[in-house]
Amino acid sequence: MTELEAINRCQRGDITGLDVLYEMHRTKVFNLSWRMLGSPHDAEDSLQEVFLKVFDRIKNYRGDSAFSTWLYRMTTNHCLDILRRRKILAFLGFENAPEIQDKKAGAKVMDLGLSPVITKALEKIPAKQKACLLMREMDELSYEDIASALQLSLGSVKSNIHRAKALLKEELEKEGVSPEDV
Amino acid sequence: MRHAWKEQDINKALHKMGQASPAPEVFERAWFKIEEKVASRGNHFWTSIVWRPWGHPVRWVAAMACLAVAFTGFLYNRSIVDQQEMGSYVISVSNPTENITKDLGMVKVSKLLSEPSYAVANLFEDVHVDPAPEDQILL
Repeated sequence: MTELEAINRCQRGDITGLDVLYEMHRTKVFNLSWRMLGSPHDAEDSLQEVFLKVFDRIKNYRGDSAFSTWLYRMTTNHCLDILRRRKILAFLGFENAPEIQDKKAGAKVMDLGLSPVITKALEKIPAKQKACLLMREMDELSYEDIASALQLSLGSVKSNIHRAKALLKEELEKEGVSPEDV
Repeated sequence: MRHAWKEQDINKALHKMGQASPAPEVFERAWFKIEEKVASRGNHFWTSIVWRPWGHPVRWVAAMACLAVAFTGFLYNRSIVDQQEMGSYVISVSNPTENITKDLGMVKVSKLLSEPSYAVANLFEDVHVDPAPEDQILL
């Protein structure tokens, strides 16, 4: 089944269409959520939520942009919402549960090839800049796709990536990590 | 010791991180939950209807208009009820003959005249005879 057929099926409310789309895009959605939220547990929840949203809202998808771009936009918006909520909870003085889970899952993260030093440094970068950087360097999306997914101008995407790299460099140098360690 | 990071080093490290992939059971678990949630929703009529007036400015206006109509209707109804009450009160005050029964055999008597008042009862209670003192011997 092609992507277009799967989308059409999904639009008719057929879950087999969603199954095909899930098989095609699950890794990218999971990886983006993981790096944005910083925890595999949150990424798993985000994967579920995003595909449920896809099933609900796919009727609004008219094919103006690539499905992957539309999906990226949905994933990024979902992650930004979660980060915003976390910020509010932290401001109100609630315990930040995802961080605790993250510490528990630290060993697992290392096993999966994620450098804890870079993960920690990435947490200090503003959410939108981080999203731009991750989409560009990890998922190898073009500037145009990132701009479309995040609804930003091309110039804004480039400057966000530049700023994110500068911040990441500063954080890594502050930590005293050498490039060979990562 | 402070190590210098070049742009290529950062790109390489991020790209390496991008290769990482979770175990397949993570995806299976997530899909199982998605299927479960979709199945539990069902196809009920009431759950399929979603009214979100805040979705578009026109809907905001429509929602506000509905609220304004409902509020005006409430105020109008209340003023009509007030006017009716006031009208009946004015009639009863200004035209007491309306209250007299048309039946010739019966005369409507006010409650005030037909029942003994408490004031009258108290009047009689005040008149009492002092009992004879205990030490007084009556022959």
